Amino acid sequence: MNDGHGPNSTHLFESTVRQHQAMVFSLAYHFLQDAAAAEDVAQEVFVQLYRNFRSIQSPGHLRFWLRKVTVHRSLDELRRRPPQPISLEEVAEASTDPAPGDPWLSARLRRLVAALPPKPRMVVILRFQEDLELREIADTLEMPLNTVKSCLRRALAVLQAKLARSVGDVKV
Amino acid sequence: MRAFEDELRSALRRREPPAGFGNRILSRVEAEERKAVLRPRLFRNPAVRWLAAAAMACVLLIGVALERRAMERRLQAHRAAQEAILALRITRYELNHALDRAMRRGGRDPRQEGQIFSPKEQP
Repeated sequence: MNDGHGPNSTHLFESTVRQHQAMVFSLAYHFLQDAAAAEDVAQEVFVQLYRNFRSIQSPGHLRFWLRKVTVHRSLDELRRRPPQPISLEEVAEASTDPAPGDPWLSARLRRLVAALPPKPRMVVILRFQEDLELREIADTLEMPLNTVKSCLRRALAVLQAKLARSVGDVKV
Repeated sequence: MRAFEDELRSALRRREPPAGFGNRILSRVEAEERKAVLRPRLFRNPAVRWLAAAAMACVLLIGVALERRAMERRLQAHRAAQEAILALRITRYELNHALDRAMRRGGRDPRQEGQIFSPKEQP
């Protein structure tokens, strides 16, 4: 994909950053629910990509590499932090993009996803942000396929149950 | 379930990073490049870096060995000096003892040693 570091590769790298920055930042942001930490993680990922640019063989390999490194960096970042109970009311909103569905429901769902344990949270994010197949999620997270399946099933059940409860609370 | 999954997709849609994100990455990358230029070209080769590290380790080990040897020599010299001082002390003791016996045989009181070689008695 790249024959070394030089002016041409810098331009190629720049266009790669512009093309994939939303994916990398969003993975980290949806996982960490902290815009500043997500930006740090995303920057680290792209600096690491620059160092390893020569080893990237194809656009598909690039996307896989970026997802994998972002996922692992985000998990590392979470491990480094002191444990903080995530309150459903405290999760920050970072983007000003207009949401296509119900904004209240979307915000509620993001908060519920943020309250999931790390691995199921990442499975849900990779599935619904990136639209990845279960096999791709298993490869990215280096988990057995059946574990990913059961993880996703349980996470969706938990999310649905909690959402139903919170919607019920609002209606009352 | 389908509607719920669509809501999740909508909630977890991609979002753009804060403004200036790309430029901040490029600045970091340029800073890395500058650092790489400052590093001599020779040392970019990992084999050369390993060799340099091995050479430095060898120099360090040789230095430690030489210093240890010098310290041993200093210790030996100190021990020899101590032994020489002890030998001189023994010699002085023996000489004093011999002198004492000789004076006793000559009927002189070794306690008046100071008078033996007084100017008056000298021939």
